[in-house]
Amino acid sequence: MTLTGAAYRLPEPVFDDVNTDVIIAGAYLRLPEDELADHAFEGAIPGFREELGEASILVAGSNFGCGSSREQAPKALLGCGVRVVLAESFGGIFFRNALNLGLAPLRVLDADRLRGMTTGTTLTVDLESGSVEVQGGRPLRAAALGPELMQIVRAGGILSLLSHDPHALG
Amino acid sequence: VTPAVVRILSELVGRPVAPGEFVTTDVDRVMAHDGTGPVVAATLAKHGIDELRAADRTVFVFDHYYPPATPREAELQALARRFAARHGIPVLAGVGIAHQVVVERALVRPGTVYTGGDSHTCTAGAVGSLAIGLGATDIAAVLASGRVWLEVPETLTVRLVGRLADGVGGHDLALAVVGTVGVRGALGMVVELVGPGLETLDMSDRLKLTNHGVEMGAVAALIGVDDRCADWLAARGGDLSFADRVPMDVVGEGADVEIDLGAVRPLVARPSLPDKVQPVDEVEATDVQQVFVGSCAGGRIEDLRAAATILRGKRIAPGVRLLVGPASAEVLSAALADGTIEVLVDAGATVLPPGCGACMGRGGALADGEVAVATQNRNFAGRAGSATSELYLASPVTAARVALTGRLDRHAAE
Repeated sequence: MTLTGAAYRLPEPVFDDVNTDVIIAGAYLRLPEDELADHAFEGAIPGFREELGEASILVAGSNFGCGSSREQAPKALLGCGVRVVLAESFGGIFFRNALNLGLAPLRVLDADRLRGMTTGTTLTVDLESGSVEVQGGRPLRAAALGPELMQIVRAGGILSLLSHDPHALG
Repeated sequence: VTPAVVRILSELVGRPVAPGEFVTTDVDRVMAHDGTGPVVAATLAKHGIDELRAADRTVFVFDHYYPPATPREAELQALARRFAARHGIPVLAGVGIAHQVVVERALVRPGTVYTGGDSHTCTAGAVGSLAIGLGATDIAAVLASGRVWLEVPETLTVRLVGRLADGVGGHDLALAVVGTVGVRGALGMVVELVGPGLETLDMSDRLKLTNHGVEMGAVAALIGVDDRCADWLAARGGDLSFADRVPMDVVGEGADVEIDLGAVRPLVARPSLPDKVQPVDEVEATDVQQVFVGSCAGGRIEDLRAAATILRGKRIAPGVRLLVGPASAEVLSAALADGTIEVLVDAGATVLPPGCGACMGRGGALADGEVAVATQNRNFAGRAGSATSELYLASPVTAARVALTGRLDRHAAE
């Protein structure tokens, strides 16, 4: 399963330890889901949606999505057109939420190259092998999503999986 | 020594499991609050799932937005209530923060898996529950199936030795642990607290430690069950059937991190990460507009009493908002009965309803550039209001001292 798109590298100081309060502030959590995207990174990255443009692959550092369990964070990113997040590591709850909602989180092993990524670079991400082709450069290596997690991704999230097979979790 | 999480999951899965392995397991208790509950209901409806295998093990606790402040909040709670009524799920509204309520009412069992739709679900690890915070869609999946998938986590053992000095509390210790381990130090792991120092800590202090598990990136935090914990749960009608899966490790041989309780000083965490920990007497002085004593980290009766010892017979500084948020109705009742609330109110405090209070900037929001000191667990930028406001984390004693002067400086340590 591969996804191709342009990279958007998050600007300093919103690169490492990005918490979900910063992705979507508490004041917006009760908004209808289609309005969340308007407030993504509000306060931290002025004009985020314009900055992001057509890019669909977010590039971050360590511990992306730490903190609150609010799944409005991945929903806000999906609403902005983001389909993949490449990061050195993820907050555990964000990682699960992303998988469940159709946003692919991939842990990249060459962390320095994430840091040096130029916004606009075209990337092709293979979720199963963890290989990321980089336009005009060497491929990046990421931890592949295992067969169990790929089952969730292919189904379109944990609830789609369960609605087709109520015994998918045993 | 086999880590507690591996022992619990091996028992539940029915064979020895190892860190890194993908497993699915039964869930003994499920919680959602008024933030996640409505999303759980809507998500299940969207996927056409109406048969819920774990409905009889689920509880909804309204704590973030109770009582509702806007028609939209009331509407979302009504949606969650209709869903709960249809499935026979009890709704506890206005009785406090879920993380306090589930331990106070002994709704979780040591040695079993508890999943809650909130990141501070890890708090219940202080009573030996493998307590895992999840998002709303994951909670919906648990509610539907009664099961959860996990990659068996690695364990980071934190060994506590010695005894806290006078004037230093469990909140300072929790900040010391977060400062030592760091916000990524336990990413994807279980923090297991071990060592002889545990026996010196009451349940309130232990709950503070596990409450901060997620601030270190942990999937869960665990403290084994000793006599003090068992007695505390038994007095609350708790079920200890599986407590033998999680005995307290008071030796803690070969731990990854060791912390001497006797060396802990009064601490603050500076904005905007909880591991930016610094001794109070070294902090750069700043004016403070709001002080919050409350939340699932610092709103228990012991915290309110600690603040009251500092504030008794005094008045807070002009222009400072002192907000007190009892973590539960039980805490509020106890604080009314023993005169704690009277002391706080006489000093100028505003008492909030039992619940999450000002932690998320609801009932005590911060304006541009305002500074707050709070006994909560998160100081992220914009967490409690304006993106340019600043949050310092501190113990109830330090917070109360700051309320008296309107200033966070080295004198708040004395």
